[in-house]
Amino acid sequence: MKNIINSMSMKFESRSVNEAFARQSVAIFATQLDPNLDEINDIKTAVSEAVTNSTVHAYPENIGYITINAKIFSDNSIEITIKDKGIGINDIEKACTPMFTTGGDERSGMGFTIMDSFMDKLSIKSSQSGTTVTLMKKISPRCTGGK
Amino acid sequence: MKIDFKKEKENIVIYLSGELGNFEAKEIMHEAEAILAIYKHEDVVLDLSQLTFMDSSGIAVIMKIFKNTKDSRDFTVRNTPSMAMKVFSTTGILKFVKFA
Repeated sequence: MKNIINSMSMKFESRSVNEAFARQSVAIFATQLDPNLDEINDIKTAVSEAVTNSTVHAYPENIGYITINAKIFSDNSIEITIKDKGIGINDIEKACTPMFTTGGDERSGMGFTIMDSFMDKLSIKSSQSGTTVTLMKKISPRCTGGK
Repeated sequence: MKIDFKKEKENIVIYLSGELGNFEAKEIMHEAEAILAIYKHEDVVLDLSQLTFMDSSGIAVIMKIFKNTKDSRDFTVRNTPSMAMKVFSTTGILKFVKFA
């Protein structure tokens, strides 16, 4: 059985300038799991993709709020949820198709593909009142030299 | 994020440094296009050695330069850090853009 051993939540406006703040904050929170550089980059990249989706697609015409909750579990895993109250994703399957984007040529359409391959679990819930993306990753225990 | 450029022999080399996400990508695309408009005939090299973070926005930046150059000149991406290479590997971009 896994227990929650720490958690945090943050809420910020869906301004593009906040994307770096969001990915860096979650990455710093995740460092207490003692991840290696690759693992921390995976988390940072996946969070950046999810937050970018919310800033670009959830609130195309206005500024809304994005909430991130992160939980650290006793089995050395982290669960991160990125939630917005935007317009929602019409067709989740289509949104997950590599290279599909409604963001024009300024976006690559690879966001969900990257979230899926960089994290252990990805789940997406969306309706007309918003989208919640949940990311999960287990951090492998590090071998400490000499022990 | 910082963008610099330098003429090196027949090439125009564009250097990106810092974090490249969606916020930074828009400006980088504009600046890169402005550089390519000045140096119209040189082959183009994108140097990523000073990149400290990149998400899928980097793919859009590279595609923009690729589309801009593909009919007339050579385009190479060099010194890609491993975290950025992992993002590129997840996509099909390695098949048609040259990485050195």
